[in-house]
Amino acid sequence: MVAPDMTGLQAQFSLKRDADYSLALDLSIEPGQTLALLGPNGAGKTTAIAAIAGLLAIDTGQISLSGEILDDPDRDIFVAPEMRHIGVVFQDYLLFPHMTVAANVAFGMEGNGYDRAGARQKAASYLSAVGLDEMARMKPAELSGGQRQRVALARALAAEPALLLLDEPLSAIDVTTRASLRRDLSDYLSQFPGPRLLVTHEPSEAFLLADEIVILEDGNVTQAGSADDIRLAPKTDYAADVAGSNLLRGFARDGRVEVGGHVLVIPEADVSGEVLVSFHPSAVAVHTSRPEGSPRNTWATQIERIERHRERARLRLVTPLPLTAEVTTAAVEGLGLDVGSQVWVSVKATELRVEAAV
Amino acid sequence: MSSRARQRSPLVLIILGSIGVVFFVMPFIGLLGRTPWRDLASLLGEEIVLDALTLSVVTSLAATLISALLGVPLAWLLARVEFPGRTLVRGVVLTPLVLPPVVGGAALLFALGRRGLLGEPLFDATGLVLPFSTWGVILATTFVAMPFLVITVEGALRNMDRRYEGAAATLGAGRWKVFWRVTIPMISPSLLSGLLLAWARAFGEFGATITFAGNLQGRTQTLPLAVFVSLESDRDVAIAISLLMVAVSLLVLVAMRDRWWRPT
Repeated sequence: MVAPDMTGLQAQFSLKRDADYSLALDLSIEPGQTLALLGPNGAGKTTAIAAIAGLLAIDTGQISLSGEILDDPDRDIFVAPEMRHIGVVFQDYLLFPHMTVAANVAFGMEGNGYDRAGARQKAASYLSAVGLDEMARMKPAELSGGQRQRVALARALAAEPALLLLDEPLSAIDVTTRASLRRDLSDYLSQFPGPRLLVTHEPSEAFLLADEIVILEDGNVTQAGSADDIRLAPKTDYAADVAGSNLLRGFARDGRVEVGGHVLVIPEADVSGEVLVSFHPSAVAVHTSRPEGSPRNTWATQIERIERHRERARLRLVTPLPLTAEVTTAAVEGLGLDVGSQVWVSVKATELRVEAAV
Repeated sequence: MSSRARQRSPLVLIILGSIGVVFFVMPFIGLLGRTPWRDLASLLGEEIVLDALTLSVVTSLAATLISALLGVPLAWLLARVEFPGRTLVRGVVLTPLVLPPVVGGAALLFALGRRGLLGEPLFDATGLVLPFSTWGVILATTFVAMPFLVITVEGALRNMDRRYEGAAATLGAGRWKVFWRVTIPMISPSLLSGLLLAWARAFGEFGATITFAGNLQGRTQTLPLAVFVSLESDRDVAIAISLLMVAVSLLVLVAMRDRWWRPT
């Protein structure tokens, strides 16, 4: 069934794996666009990939690619995975251990317009595209993690898929080589003309590789948007955590929000009811004494933890509100800050983003 | 307690274990001690030996082939398809592992004998008589040998990481291609092991064969049957054949050393 006006991937579906676990997903990806499905382990990301690839059937909803319906239980449509033209780079790559690297890459081309010899020849060109021509005759077990990842990518691309799915493509990679492999991956992704879906639990991968991010928690989409949207206005603790933002849930009335017994002044006077207040850690100013002029959102607190990243330091403050403040390490030294230090903090009302909690 | 004291094994276990070793080694020493080494070549060249050897090789290979042809699909069904009565089917298939072979042979006779449940209509329709024929030997040995292949391959199919098959499907491979290019190669060590086990069992089969197929030289008299007959008539021939079969068994063991007796 074809609806010619639709392009890219549309996936709006739910599926139940067992009594405790179900997944509901709603996303669409245009050709040439990379969408990251970001979520903690166990959120259902791999299940989402399996459903889109056709390795699992959905219970309700619809999945379509380039206008063709792939799975729609209401219309009794289910296209088998081998007919979907969806390339998958699996989390642990799943390279066929009994085949050479070249045979792995050629596997998807045989019977797809190529004979065995033609497939081998084309495989060689895909392998050289990822810089692995010399490994063609080796078995996957002889390769490093990074090489395996590139073989998996070459194998998926060689089958000339209409959609590319990548399940945690960098998680099996050594931390020291991850940055360079991420750069390579970004290049390969940009050369692939179709929609690309990247599944990851690593926020930095999502922010660096994707045009759009969908956050998945406990089988549900909790937020979708650009990296900036999520960084500036995270909707859940997890999103705030991955974006590095502070997120407080409170009750708003008359330009004030009450959060756990503490009152914050907010710029919008017309918001009321349950709200989420978010602000970046760098919006929190830290003083050793009560600041002059006393901005309205000022209170005394204690430093519970200090984390240093290069020239920045993040301070964890607990009472009366759980917050993260970001200052320069020079300020930490200059002000003599340490764990247990009593400090004053202030946040400008204009730095606070407030939105209704859903 | 000192570490030396803890390392010392209990004396009773050492003694009983050693008796166990002697128990296994003794028969071979007995066999080797009685072997007429000088006449061995001519003994092995006797007609009864050559007939039995040819028959054993042909029937055991045929039984292995049939076991593979039927046993692999059967193992696949048992491992991959949920159907009512699956446990029962598995039990029935594995029964020959514990059933006395003579009983298996008798059961085959009641089913496939000339007056048997299936044997009678078969004879009426085709004139084919299975008992006391070479086909009967193949049938009896397959009955006893195939469960070894089924149980080994089913285990391998269960333990295999099925995500590889999913990965193959996303690469456009249909079920047949997945089966031949991914599933079978990935279980090939177990498949090989199952084939060898089945073959070794078929090669040494005695009870079901003699019950169902009889003991006719050149037609149904395999090597184990020839040993049994020769023990009564010409002991040296029996010893020569036994030695031959020991050698073959050792070859199988050596071939499978990594899978069956990997030293730790």
